[in-house]
Amino acid sequence: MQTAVRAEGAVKIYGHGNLGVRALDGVTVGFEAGKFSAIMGPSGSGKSTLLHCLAGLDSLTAGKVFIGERDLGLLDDRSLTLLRRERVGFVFQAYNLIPTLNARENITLPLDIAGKNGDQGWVERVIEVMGLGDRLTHRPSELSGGQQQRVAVARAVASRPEVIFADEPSGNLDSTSGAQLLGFLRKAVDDFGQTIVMVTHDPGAASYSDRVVFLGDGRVVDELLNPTADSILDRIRTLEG
Amino acid sequence: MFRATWKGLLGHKLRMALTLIAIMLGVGLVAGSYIFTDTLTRVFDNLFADSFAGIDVQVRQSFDPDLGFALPDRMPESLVEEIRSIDGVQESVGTVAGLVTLAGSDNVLGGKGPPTIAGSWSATATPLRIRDGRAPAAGGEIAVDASTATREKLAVGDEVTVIALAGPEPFRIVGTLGFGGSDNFGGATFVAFDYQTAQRVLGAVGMVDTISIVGDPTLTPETLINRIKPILPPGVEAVTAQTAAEEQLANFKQALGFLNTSLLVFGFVSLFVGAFLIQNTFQIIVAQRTRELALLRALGATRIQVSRMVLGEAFLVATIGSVAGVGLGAGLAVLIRAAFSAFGGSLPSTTLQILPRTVLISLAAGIGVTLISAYLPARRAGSVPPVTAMRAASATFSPRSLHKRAIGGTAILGLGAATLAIGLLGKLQSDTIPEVAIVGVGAGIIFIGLSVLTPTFARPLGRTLGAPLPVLFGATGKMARENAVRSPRRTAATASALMIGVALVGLVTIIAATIRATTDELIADRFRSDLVVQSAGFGGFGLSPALAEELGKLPEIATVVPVRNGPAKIAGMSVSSVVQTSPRL
Repeated sequence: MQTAVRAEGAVKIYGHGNLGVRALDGVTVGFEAGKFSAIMGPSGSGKSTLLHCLAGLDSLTAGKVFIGERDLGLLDDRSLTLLRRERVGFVFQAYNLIPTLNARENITLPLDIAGKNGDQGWVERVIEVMGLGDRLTHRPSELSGGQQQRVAVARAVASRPEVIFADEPSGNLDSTSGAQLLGFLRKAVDDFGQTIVMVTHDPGAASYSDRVVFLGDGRVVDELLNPTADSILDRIRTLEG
Repeated sequence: MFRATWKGLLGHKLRMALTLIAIMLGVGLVAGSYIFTDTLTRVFDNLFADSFAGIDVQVRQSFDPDLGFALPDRMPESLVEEIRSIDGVQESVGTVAGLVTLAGSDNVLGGKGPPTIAGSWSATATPLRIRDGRAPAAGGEIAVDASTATREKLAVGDEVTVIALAGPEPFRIVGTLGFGGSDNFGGATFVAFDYQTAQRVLGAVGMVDTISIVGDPTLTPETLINRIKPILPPGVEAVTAQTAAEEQLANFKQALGFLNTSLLVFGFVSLFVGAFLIQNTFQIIVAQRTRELALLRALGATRIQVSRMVLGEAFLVATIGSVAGVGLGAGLAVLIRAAFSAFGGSLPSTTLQILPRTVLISLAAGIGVTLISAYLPARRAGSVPPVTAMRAASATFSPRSLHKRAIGGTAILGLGAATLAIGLLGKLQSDTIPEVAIVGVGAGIIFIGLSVLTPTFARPLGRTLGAPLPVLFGATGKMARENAVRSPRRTAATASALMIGVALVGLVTIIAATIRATTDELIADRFRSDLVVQSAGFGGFGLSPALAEELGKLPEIATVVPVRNGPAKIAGMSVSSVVQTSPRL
């Protein structure tokens, strides 16, 4: 198996001394390239912190994070920025589109930032797959939640990153739009060979993935391959019990 | 990135409009002062050139330019004939001039502000042109400049009174005059008599003030001067018409320079104040867009790219504002000119002079000030941590300690106070830097120091002033107070907009009050008497000494003191006014 991103003994402490909170308490985990992985866990289990650290948005207190073979701890702010620009894509719970740019401009924003034209054929294909062809000139405020999140996914996929990190991507959507969106993420993995790491607390969302990693109190407590919503719920009950 | 910049601007129309107005006003004042003074200079340049048109050489009493408006002695009339007999001289015309008051049946005509000048008419070697009627040819006839005639509704055939040293005398208008192409001479009222009448009315019988000379066209003015020089008595000089025009323009430019400086000071003060407004606006915009900026960082925009984007916005706004400001400046210049006209100084019209220098300075000032103001907010934008994009609530900046700010602010304040003190006490005896400039710089530094310190005041002041709120309004009152105290920087940023407003109102009020107090003091100091009798109009030509005697005879008047004043030089230093009084009558 080829690992796209991995953490080794990752520790993250917020605050200092006695008041310090151990959000990550020695996490060692790898995520396979070309697969859809989910990170689950109750509130405060450290799943969001792990995602931020894996994506190079936040730094570890101890331990290492690798994207490909690159150790993020050795990179300065500029190199880390360039790494995010070239190898990482994001999908956020709150969509995070630029309100003043239209859908197409939002999709090509990472390419704009990099000063590249990108592969136009690829961009058009992504737009088509996401079903956004007739929405490209609309501003985010003129789009539904589901459409906005599809724009966000298209934005992440358009620059062909090594890995896409998604933080509760269906969290703000109704069940139909949520299911549709997760279907698109699945499609990106199956059709384009995209690597996706997703944080969620929703077993239904996690069931779209190839593998679920369970976190509790800042540690990896379990994992499940080829999950279904039922098998995930069973596992959660076992873990809580 | 450029697209994000441009669209980001459009997304904050109202805030950007405020910034735009701040830049526009400041740049407008700067550009307006230049355009106005350049236009005036051009107008008078034309005028002075006009007033010597058709003349090659002028003979006059040499005078000291330091003494300003002092009228030099006159020359004997015989000199006119002597010059005419010189080989190469085609025309030699003597002229007399002086100050008078022109009156209607019961009112003063013209000369409110600018003086009323009386002179002798001559058909040749003169810029004077008859517009209407004919030239004055005998005693009792007068010609009035066309502009005054229009303003005071005077027509050929009307009777007017001319008051000169010898007393009032009736005249009949026989014509109206122009100066070359213009209707009057830079706002002054001008009347002309025939040569002999002018000499009599102005007390110059047998004398002339200047001699205008036209030479053989094949001779240069310099050659002409060399031929005239030998016969000139001591204290009399011959200059080319061009030199005479340039001298007058130079005098005028010096006076205008002062006006330009005062107007420019207002422009730069408003740009300085605008800088705070601009910084405030950009700080708010950056704070509001924290998430958006964090997103850009997360998507791979470098710190420099994000900072540059904010600076790019600033640059765009600054460019639009500065260009609009130059336009506003042109409008202001037109307005100032209209205001001058309203006070009776009708200025000849010329196209507005918008010189490349004006545009360059205005754009540089507007864009420079905006970029400097936006620099800190832009740097702040670059340092937004990218992880902020992932968090639901927009994170605030990590609260840095206010200690450094308190120390820095106090240091700046101290520096400002020291500068102000040096300026006020006049300790720096420098010829090149005026004390008022030091005071101005000191005040500016103090302003910066105070604005740096405001966040440190915000917390204790907010607690103290907000103390009654919980008592008065319960929980909501407590929330209001705590909100103001919680983020001293935010409170200070909001307060600083108010601070600028109050400072501006204070500035204008203090200037107005100072001018009034100074005038009051001046009046109280200078006029100890109950009444002052003086001739109407600028400078005044004086009054007949006989008037003082006559007034002294009135039973209602206890004391009359005749006063005579004029400029003088004492031990090489020029003094603006020397007053001579005679013992009380």
